[in-house]
Amino acid sequence: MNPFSALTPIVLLGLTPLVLMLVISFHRSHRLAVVISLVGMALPLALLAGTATSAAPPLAPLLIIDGYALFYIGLLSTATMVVVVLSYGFLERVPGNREEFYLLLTLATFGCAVLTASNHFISFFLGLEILSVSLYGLVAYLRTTRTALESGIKYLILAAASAAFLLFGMALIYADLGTMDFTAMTSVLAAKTREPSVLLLGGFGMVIIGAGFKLAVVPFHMWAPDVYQGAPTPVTAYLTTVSKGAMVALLLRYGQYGGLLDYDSVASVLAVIAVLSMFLGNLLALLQDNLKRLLAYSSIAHLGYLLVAVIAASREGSHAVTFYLVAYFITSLGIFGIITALSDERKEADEISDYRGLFWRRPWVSGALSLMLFSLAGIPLTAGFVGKFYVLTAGVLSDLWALVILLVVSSVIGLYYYLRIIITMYLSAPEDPSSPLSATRRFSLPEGLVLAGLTVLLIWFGIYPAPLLSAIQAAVGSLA
Amino acid sequence: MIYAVLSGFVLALLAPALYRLSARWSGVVFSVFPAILALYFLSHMEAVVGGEAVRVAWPWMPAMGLELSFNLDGLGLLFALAITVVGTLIITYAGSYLHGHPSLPRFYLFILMFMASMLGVVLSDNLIALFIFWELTSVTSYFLIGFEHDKDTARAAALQALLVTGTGGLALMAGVLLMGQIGGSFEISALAADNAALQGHRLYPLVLALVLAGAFTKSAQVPFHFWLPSAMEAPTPVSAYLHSATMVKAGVYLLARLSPVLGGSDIWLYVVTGFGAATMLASAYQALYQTDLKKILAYSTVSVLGTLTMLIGLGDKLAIKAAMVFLMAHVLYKAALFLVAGSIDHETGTRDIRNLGGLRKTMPIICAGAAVGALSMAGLPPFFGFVGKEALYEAVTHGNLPVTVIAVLTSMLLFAVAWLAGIRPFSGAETHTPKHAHDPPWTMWLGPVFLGCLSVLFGFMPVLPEKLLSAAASSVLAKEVHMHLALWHGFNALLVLSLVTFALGVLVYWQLETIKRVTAFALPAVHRGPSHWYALWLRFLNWSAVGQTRVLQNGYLRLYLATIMTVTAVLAWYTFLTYGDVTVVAMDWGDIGVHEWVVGLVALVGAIATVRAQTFLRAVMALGVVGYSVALIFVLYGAPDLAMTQFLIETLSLILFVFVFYYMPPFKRFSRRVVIVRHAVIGTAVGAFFTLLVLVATSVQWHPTISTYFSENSYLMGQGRNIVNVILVDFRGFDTLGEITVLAVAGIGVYSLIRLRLGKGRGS
Repeated sequence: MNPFSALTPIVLLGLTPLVLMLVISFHRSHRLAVVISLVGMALPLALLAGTATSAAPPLAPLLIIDGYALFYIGLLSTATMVVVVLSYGFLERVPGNREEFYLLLTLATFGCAVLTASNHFISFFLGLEILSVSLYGLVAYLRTTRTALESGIKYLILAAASAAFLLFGMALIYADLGTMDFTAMTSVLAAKTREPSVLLLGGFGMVIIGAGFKLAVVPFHMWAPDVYQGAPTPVTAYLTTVSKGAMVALLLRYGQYGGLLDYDSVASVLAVIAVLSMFLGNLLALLQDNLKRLLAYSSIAHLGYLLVAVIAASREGSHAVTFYLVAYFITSLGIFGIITALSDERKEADEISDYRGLFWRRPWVSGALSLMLFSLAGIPLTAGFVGKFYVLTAGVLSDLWALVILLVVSSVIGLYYYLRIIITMYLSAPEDPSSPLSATRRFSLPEGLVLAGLTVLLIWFGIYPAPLLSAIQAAVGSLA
Repeated sequence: MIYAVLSGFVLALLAPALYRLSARWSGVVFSVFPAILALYFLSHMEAVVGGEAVRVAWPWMPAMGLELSFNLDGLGLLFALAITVVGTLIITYAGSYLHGHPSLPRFYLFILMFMASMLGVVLSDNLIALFIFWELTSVTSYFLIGFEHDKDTARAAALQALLVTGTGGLALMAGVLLMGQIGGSFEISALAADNAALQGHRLYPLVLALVLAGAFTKSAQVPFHFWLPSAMEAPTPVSAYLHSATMVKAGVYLLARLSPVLGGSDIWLYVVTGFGAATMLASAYQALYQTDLKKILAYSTVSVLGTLTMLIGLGDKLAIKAAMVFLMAHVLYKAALFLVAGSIDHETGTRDIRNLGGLRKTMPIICAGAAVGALSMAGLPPFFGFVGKEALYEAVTHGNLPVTVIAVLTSMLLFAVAWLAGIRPFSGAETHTPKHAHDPPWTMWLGPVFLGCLSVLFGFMPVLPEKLLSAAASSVLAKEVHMHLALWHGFNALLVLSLVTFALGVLVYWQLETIKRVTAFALPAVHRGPSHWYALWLRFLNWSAVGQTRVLQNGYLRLYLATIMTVTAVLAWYTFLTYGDVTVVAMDWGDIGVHEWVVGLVALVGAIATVRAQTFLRAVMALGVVGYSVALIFVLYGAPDLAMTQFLIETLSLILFVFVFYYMPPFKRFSRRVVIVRHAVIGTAVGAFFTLLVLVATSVQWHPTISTYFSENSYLMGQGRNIVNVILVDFRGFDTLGEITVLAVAGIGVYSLIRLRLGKGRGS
């Protein structure tokens, strides 16, 4: 098979922003931009089915388009499509140019696709920077509002700093191993003695900082609440799903080849990060009154859970990570989607108090939101439960007793604040009609369809996860 | 059978729609469903008491080795019948009790869903499935307790119940995973068949602790018992169903079900028996102090749950038999008493026993139901409660003395409590109540009367439930047992013990106020203790969250950066000092020429000047000095193209900065000195480490220098004698193109900035 035809999905993803840019410079139309982005994301998806079956040769040495990469590219572009749909309604309500938003969004997804397929430090860094630079623009897209600017600047400076760490780490690892190719690293590492050099460990540390920043795990998490709150809600949804998902995909692959997890010291650093993230994330979420901030902290905790499965590293671990991510994508997109769809021109629906009595006005919406929150809390019959269960299983299989117990304990704290939101929705509505958001805003048809679809998937994967599990096993199996 | 369990979920989802068809008789209509289920389970009675277990399995998550398997044996059948029969009565009752309540459709949704989940718990053979249903009962009970969602207390109680049982649930989940991992299967029947591997494993105590945490929280054992009395905020049908007949027994069920797997060890004996015994006595004692009818019943329920736990902990044949009999007796009388309490509340408007009296005249039917329930609870013949208590005494007298004493004391207290809750509101003179009392409609007395009849019938003819109870005991003990129940055992030691209990019970009731006064000193320990810890724990969580928010999330970017840097520095230095080899850093300082020292010093001065600059322009200029020095170093080390790029980029960015900063106000210093010093320390630590790493890295030489390659190949491959030319246009053609493009883009940027400025100037 021609190695370049294997690249088609990534090439298509890369073409999308270019086409958008050209179209925008000749004809500005919000609707057209949305359609182009959707088509640009859907085309690779349609092609995936064809390419997934044929074993693709690695495009030595930068990219490797295997079943694993294709699975993640499919996942990320689907999530991007959801974000695009949500963004349409959101951007219709704000002043200023809208079309460039999609340019940045599709460019970011292109960067993510490169990350998931990268087999080399160079492509790793290129993909990451394409993603980051697009995100700077996206986070600060509503540049006339103070909070958006503040979060944009915070994200820019911290991301740049962490990218510097990452780059330095790569250089150090190269200095020690003499290669930047993941596959080659495996053989170099196999030939080395087990005593790690300070260069290698230092390099691993820097890579963890770079990756940890994107994943917003403690102690590299501090940007998350501010940026989540300040960024436009669809961008927040994107940050929490696509951006983190791509990084997790890369980390799994690198962990498999680059020997990241073979050293006890690195594994214990990751374990500490996981524990801190689970506990600090859940504790700090307790007191939040802003839903977006709360979800930022909850996301920190969830990435901590994920890290437990990453540390488990066994094949079970990779499956668990991927399943958990899918469940987390569905849930997060659903919640942020509902926040976006409930907001109107006057007010963003991001305070918990805005949801007071929502059940009595919008029973279906609040029902769906309750299910999403149950999924985050890991209550049975939702995809989130199966994900958490799978992660725990992976931990148990790898004898990570302490981590498993700590995960369970910290989930208890999580239960508390998710329930708080649900309780608020079932309270009776406040007397003062001016305070809450206008619950009268009807969802547009695409919004409604997307949200209903996410809810159905949430329950479906919660009750009958077998098809998804076997798809994941087929895809992730190509990793080893 | 799979349909019997799962159909409840489907019906639950349809309930709000079905409700609209017949709002008036909705209770009766919905009660048909559990009635059908009850008949279905009864139809299996013959097979099950014959020793056959009905088993079905359904592949569910084959990738994870999970299947949805259901197993109907004696224990399962006993619970399934309790769930469906009491369910029928409760739903009939609730239709009238909650008549006209705007959220009634929601009530049906959750109660049916709860019933289906509860059936799932008691019928699942797969531990994972059992856990899932277990959590679903917690969640649905959360909605049922918080049914009166406008009441703060109801919401708090619902949250408390879910937090306590949810915590236990998560512990159970971990325990289940461990059990499956160690035992090699998630099927309870498979685990029971080979329990030696599990009990001999070093993690057995941990597994046991996790499972017991789940069971004890669910079944409200001391010290987790406080949530159950609080949960009395729920509508009475919910309390009757969840908090006496079914859900709180799920923990007891789990212990019984897992006793062939985990039971039999010394830890099991001491821990389970100990917690059970402590619970039965402590909460029977607490029940005396209550004045709310439902709270009295709640504490006595906790006491009975303790008794059952204690019996399962003892685990011998007599104890298990007693547990089954006692359990059935409790289901019959306690559900009835709860329904009575609900009717009294509904008809009189109060549940405070101090305001109630003489209701026998106005509510005769309810009074009859209450009397049978109370006498059965007091353990008096000829009711089934007596049979239960005799079985209990028989079991404990074969145990040891402390347990016997506790059992007698508890029965004595429960005798008084039964009188308090079931007899006192009906005796004496009539009192003034908020509403004028009369007997409720038939739907509301059917439950107590039906259950009361069963109490009497089984009391007179204990042979009727004998086979079912034997089958249940057989599945707990994992071997065939037969029991013979009788009302009259002859005049023996047990009867004497019973008579002593009655005498003491009468004494307690008669001298209640004195006893309460004398023993009140012990109350805070059992009463305030655990719920106080719960409150403290919540406060601690909030406090630590506040503290962390203040310290870690104060919104300052500099703090965020400082955190990342500090972590890096600490980790890095730690790694270096542990694994590092400082000797590699040894380098030849004499190699460095004077000009190199000068350039380095200039860069250093530039960096210091950047940090210390008072205006933006000065800072930018100083930064430029650093950049040019770096470029000079590139020149010195033979990378002219790199140096060229660096010079141009530095120049362009300097110009850009100047244009942008022209509009910026001068610097202001906000930071205190200590902050600046702190940041300097952190920065130095990180910088020093990086320098060190660079020094280590330079001692590594992986490939031959690239200049050798260029000089060797420039003529052979590039056909040019000027090596620099060949590199620029040939070997690194794309690099050059890229650099030119960057320059062009940067130039356009500068140009547009200038234009912007001019345009503005013209405009103003």
